[in-house]
Amino acid sequence: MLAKLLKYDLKAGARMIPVAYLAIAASYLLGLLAKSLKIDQLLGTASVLLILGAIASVLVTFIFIILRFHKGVFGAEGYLTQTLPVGKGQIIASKAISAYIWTVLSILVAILAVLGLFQLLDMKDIGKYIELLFGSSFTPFVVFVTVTGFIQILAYIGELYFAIALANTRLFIRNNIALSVVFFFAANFVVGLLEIVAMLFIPLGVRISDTGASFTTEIMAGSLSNIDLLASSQPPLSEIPLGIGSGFADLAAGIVLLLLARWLMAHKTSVK
Amino acid sequence: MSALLEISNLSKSYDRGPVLHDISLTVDSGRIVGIVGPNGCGKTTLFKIIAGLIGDYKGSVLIGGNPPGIQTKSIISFLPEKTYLQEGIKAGEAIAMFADFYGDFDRSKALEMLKRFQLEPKMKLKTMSKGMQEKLQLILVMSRAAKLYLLDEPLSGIDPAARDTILDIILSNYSEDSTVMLSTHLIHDVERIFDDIIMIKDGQLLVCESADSLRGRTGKSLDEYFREVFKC
Repeated sequence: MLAKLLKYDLKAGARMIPVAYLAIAASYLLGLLAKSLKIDQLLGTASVLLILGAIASVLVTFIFIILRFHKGVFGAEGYLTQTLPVGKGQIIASKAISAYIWTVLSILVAILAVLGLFQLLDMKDIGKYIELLFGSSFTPFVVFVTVTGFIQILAYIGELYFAIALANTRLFIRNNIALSVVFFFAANFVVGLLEIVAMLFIPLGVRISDTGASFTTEIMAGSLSNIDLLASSQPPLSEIPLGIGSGFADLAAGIVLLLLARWLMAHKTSVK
Repeated sequence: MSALLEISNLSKSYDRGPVLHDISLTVDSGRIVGIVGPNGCGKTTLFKIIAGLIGDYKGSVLIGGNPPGIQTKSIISFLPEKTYLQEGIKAGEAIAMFADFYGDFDRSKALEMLKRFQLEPKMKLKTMSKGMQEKLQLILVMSRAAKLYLLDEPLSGIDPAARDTILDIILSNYSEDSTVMLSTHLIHDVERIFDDIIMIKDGQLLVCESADSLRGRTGKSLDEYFREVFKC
């Protein structure tokens, strides 16, 4: 049943999100045309449209995730969703997986749009700047950011679903939309604090150097306290182990919040 | 006859106050049951609890011996008052979706009814009139071979000429051993089909007996009795 639910959730996204992808593709093609015809004004317009398209793809996905959960579970569509012969956990899992897939896809498309912009504007020096900033540690740094980013998306989805489910409980249902926003920011703040604490104090990190990346059991807070912040030159990246405890905090927070949303759905919420 | 639905001491409150108060009733298999009462008396809340849409209630609700859950949802076919399909969905897609999720859904029966009521599978929900949308939802619900049909106000918003069509869909598509619970405040139009009647007033159970017994006891039609009880 989960696969069937997922099929319909992904289909719902396919009706809305790819419009932004098409806009990006159209802007890029327009840029290519302007570049080949050497029309600078049109190239400028295409570049702006490309940036706007990249922002829109992420924004549209974010709105889709909220609408699909709010309308699909607690709105009129909830009368169908919640009377299907499937468990509440399967409903949440399907929506979360679909939200995750569309988010990752939209971020990738946005990154492609930015790369397309660099290519249109002949920004060949970008590689030099990256090398200047990161040296040869750029690749492991990108891997680190990507992995933690992927985990963070789960926490975001958990925060959103928990906030919406809580706002649809008996106490808050009258102002469910406004309170969904409030609860989301509250959950986001708490998870953010947990991330920082876990990053600084869990003795597990990654040390990125010119020769690559290696795991370390050093505490990031300890390394930071040894650094002289008033020193004229900043220490290289390799001297600070990047705490990966934040990733565990995000993973745990995402799972716990999704489970809480499921519990609220099963015991405390009503479909309006 | 065996009890399909057993409700004991059911109470439910919203933040504005109690909606259902200490309701106990039993509904047998193979019956057409009318749930009547004025707007806001708790009919929809009762249906939502049976259908598994509301989890925070007090008391016990058993459908085929099970509390509302996955098992009961597979034997209940629920028609809410609201349009619960996505705006952009086509009639044919809605039928495919029901066939995907419900093992007891009869796709050919649904397509046949669609044709009979002059609805095209390619028609999008948002291009349909309210009456057409309600017909489509009723077709979906009645194309299942469910044990319990919960039809919440299927006649409201339907013009009098189409009400007979709606009743025809209901009567010609439920099986003899299943139960239909139909809520309405338009008793005059439907009282002839009811085997049993449940009347709810201000969240409390007023009447739960066979329609014939009520008629015999009061010497009035259900409609006349309803008007007398709920007179403002």
